[in-house]
This record gives sequence, C-alpha cells and structure tokens, in this order.
Amino acid sequence: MELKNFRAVIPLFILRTAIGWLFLHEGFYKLFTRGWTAQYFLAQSKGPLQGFFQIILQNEFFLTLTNKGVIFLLILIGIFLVLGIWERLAATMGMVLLLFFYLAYPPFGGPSSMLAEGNYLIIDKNIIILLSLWVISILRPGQWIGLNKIVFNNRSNS
Amino acid sequence: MNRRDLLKGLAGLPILGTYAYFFSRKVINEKRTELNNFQKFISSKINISGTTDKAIFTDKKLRVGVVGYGIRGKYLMKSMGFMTPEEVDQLSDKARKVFLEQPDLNVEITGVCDLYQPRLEEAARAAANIERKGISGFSERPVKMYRHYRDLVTSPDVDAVVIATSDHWHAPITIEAANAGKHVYCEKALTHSLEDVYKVRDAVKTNRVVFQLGHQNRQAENNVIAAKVIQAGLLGNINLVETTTNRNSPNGAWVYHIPEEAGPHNVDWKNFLRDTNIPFNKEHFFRWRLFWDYGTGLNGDLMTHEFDSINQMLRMGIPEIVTTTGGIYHWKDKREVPDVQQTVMEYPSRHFSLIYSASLASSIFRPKKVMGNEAALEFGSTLNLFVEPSSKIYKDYIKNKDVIPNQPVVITNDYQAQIDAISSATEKYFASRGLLYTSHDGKIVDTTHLHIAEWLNGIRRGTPVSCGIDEAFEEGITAMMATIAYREGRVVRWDGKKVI
Repeated sequence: MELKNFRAVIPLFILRTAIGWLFLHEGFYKLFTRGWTAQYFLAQSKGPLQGFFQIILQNEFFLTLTNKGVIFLLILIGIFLVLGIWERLAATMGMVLLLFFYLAYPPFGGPSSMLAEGNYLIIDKNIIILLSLWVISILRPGQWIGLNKIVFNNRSNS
Repeated sequence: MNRRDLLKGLAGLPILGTYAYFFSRKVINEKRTELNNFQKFISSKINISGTTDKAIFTDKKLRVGVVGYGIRGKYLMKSMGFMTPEEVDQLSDKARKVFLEQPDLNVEITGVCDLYQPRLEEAARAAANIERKGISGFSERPVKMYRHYRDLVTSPDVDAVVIATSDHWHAPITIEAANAGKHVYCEKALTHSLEDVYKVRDAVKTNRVVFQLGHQNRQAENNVIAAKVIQAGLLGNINLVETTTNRNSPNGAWVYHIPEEAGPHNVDWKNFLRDTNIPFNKEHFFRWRLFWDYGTGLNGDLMTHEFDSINQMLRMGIPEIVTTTGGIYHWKDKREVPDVQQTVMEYPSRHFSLIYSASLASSIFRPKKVMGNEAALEFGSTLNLFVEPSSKIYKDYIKNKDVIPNQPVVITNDYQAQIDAISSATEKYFASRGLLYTSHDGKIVDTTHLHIAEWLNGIRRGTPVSCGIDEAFEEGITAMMATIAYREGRVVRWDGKKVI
C-alpha cells in the first residue's frame, strides 16, 4: 500500500521503533536473566495450546529449543523493527509469536489474576500489538525511514 | 543517494545505541542495588559459598551389599546409580536425564538381600544394570542373591553395607556388619528398641567403621544455610521450635500395596520375625510400619527426620523431657501406631521447647518454624527470615527501612519443592522437607545421592560424615523416648546417660 505523504510515515516509524524496542528488551532481559525458562509460562497455560505446550514440556530437547528460540526470535524481530529492515518478515514473525502468547492465556472471560495490571475480555494488549504489526507489515514505513531504504534503495527522494 | 536519504535509512541505528546504553545501565544498577545493608549483614554472617565439596570417585571400586529392596532400598539403589532396565525405560525423558547425569560413585553392588523372592530378583537385576540402560541395551551379569543378611555382611565380596529393612532389623544387621568390619549406611530410625541404640553405638565405635544414618536432609541447601543462620546467632535466643508432618493418602499413611502373588512360598516369614512368634501375615510383612512389632510409627519414620534436621541446626542433642500423645483417629484399619501425634521435647537447660505435630489425615502445609526473640526462620519452598519488631540486633536496619519487621525475607530459594518431576502427594511432602532434591549451584540434585557420596568419601578418605554415629545415637534415643512416652502414656526423661 502506498503512503501518500511523509507526514503519515513519522507516526508509523515511531510505532515500529517502539514495538521493536519492546521485543528487543523482552529478548535481552530473558537472555540476561540467569536460569530463565519458558517452562512455568507453558506449564500454567490453560488455553487451547495447553496440550501442545505439555508435549514441549515433556521433552528436554523441545524445551531447550523453545527457550533458545523465543529469545532469538524476540531479539531478531526487535533489531529488524528498530532498524527498519525486512519489516514485513519481522512483523509476520512477531504476529505469530504474539498469537502464541495470546492463546497461551486467552482472556476469554475466565477468572483473571488478581495481580494482573488490567482486566481484559477477548482483546488484550497482545492483540493490540499484533494488529499494530499488521499495519506495519502492510504500510512498511521502512521504505521511507529505515535500512530498507538503503539496502534496497527502492524509494528515493520521496 | 543523498545525505538526507542516508540519514533516513540509518535512523534506527542511534535508537539501537540508545537501547544498548540504557540496558547496560540497568544491568549495572541492578547489580549495584542487589543487596541493601541488612542483606549484606545477613550474608556476611552466613557466608554462602558457591562451591561444594566434590565427591571422590577415582579410588578403587567399593563393593556394596544392599539389605532390603522395598520402597527405600529401591530409592537408595537408584541414588547409587542402579535401576532395573524396565524402570529405566519407564522414566520420563526428564527423569532419565537426571538419572543418567547423576555422577558415577564408582561402586559395585556385589550382593543383595531381601526376604521376598520377587524383590530379591529385582534387586539383582538393578544391581546388574551397571550401564544404566533400558531393556534393549541391558546385558545380564550375575549378582549374588542372599536369603539371609548374615551371609551378606560376612561375605568377603562386600566392603560396605546399605541397610533398608524394616526398623526392627536395623540394629542386628548394623551390629553384625560392624563386627565383620563393614562400613554401614543405615536408614532411619536407628533402632526398634532402646537397648539396641547403645549396642549399635558400641559396635560402630569399637570396630571403627564409617557409619552414616539415612537423614539425607543434612544435604539440603535450605537446611545447611538455616544451620548457619542459627549458629551465627541471627535469631537471638531460640525458645520454641515447631515442626510437623502432614500427609493424607493411603501411601502416606503406610497403607502399601500387598502383591497378590505373595505367600509363604516366596516370603521368608521366619526370618522376618525377630522376637515374636506369630503366624504368617501378609499385611504385617508388607505394611510393617503399622505395627509395633516391626516399626515405630511416626517416631521412627518421620519424626526422626524432623528431629535430625533441627539437631543439624541447633546441635541440641537428646531432650531432657519427652511426652507423646495422639491416637488412631482416622485410619481405622488394623494399625497399632497412631496416625495423629504430638510429641513435645523439652530442653530446660537450653531454654527451649521442640514440638513435633503430625497428621496422616490432612495434607495442609505447615512449614517448620524456629523462633527466637530477635527473629524467626520459616522453612517453606523458600527459607524465610522474619525479624521481630522489638529486635535489638536489627534495630538500625528496621529504622533505615532496610528490613520490615514480620515480613518474610527470603534467604534461599531452593528448587526442591518446585521440581515438576514430582507427582505424588507423599513425594511433595518429602520434597518440601528437603528429603528428595536440593539445588547445588543451581542444579537439581538428589539429596540421598549426596548423602551416600559423603559416606563413601568417609570410607575412602576418612572425611567426616554429617550424620555419623553420635548424631545417630541422639536420634535413636530421642525416637525411643517418644515411642515409650506414647506406648506407656508417661513422661520420659533423659538424665544424661540413660532414659528414665
């Protein structure tokens, strides 16, 4: 989709950078937290993916793969989004990851944790970020601001 | 491409740099503010070192004989690295990994003994599985099967003996093994009768063998650090200790499975009886913990662990006064031993009381508590310190808000109670007591394995064991005092030399 003018690019660029920062930090934080594991997150999941997560938990290899993979993907997506390169790929991967996070603890009207910072019904923050990534993957502000512009040089002087 | 385009293209780079700057600052700040003055004070007193003594496995192979292959005998064999191929196959991926990664203690099981033929054969099969393989990789090798323990302990093929029989045989086997010059690892309780406590101590001391009593709680990180907290005087004057057992399942109440195929043809009933003469009884044989002729009820099975863990921390020895009350309040089967029990142990000259309270018909979690006038310790899945509002030691820290009185301060975060490989209620009970797993350098380790390794090091190098004969003597006398107090319905005293 074409963006009509540069003014419309600025908020999209900021949005992309902010989401990238979020992913990057989630990844680095996990990387630097000694003994971090997705185990407890997976084990307590009550959503439609519960069975799938249990399979991962039963197998040492799958669990290690999940732990390393989540960190790797978070950092990779974060870097791509901040730099503005391969943003469609990064946004798509981010959406898949967020879908997993969302379905792990879906806010479908069950009792919610007293300690959660808000209360959600069907729509939660994961979904909002997921939708934002959808917008970014379609409008691709990296064509104006981002490494995409240099690497592929596909839109000069706009 | 002009300069403007270049700037637009590289707009993300300074943002990445900004992130890197803030992240590294955050990491440094977190490191710097990790400990406040109060925490620094506590950790300087208890000196938590990350290194643990490594077991020595390089010396020549020790030849071990195992007497008794029931629930506990099987666990001890596993902790030494031996399981039947069938059981190895049944392990979950995770449990198999833990088992295969367990260090090799460089021991050989040269003899096994059990009074029930199928278990004896199973024990031999486990002992033969030196490569820790499943059925497909298992290769048979002969292991001597003994019908009578005497032949095992006197065999020249055996250097050391692991005893996991019913309580009433602990003492005779230990004594005969010691007299034969064999080192002994014996399960709790030390004995089944008062006079045996003295006999065991004398036999072990005269023959100078290395003896370890099966209180693997000695190896749990929570207990080791709690001992340091207490011995550093951080609780002030300790005046009351409260410790408990809570379980609520047939297995937890010792209603064990009785194999249908068992009968006089494959159970050596004659050698099971010690001083009694009663006809063959399957329930007595497989559920011996329920009957006074063979076991000592809660006293020998579970109170001993609690007593020993407190003795590990306070080193208070034998109580001067013991009372025990309780009854058979829930499990109305044929049992003789109580399922609800309160034992009060008084230490007037040390100015404190130790209370043990148990129910086998309620599984609510009651953490162990050591109470002093300055602070208290609570043992849950984490070790928590509670500072008294009126404390003198911590006055300044309270004033500076480094610590809030009566709010838990986590001293250690042991993984033992969180491990998800644990399934049954009884296992969870044991785990919360540090009797199954502990964390050493962040890794989950079987405490029984560590306890056996310590015993083997003692045999090989003469290094000290943590629950040797002196600690065992104190445990043995205390457990017998509690049993006598209950059975005779009286106050039992210790005069420093004998029970009166």
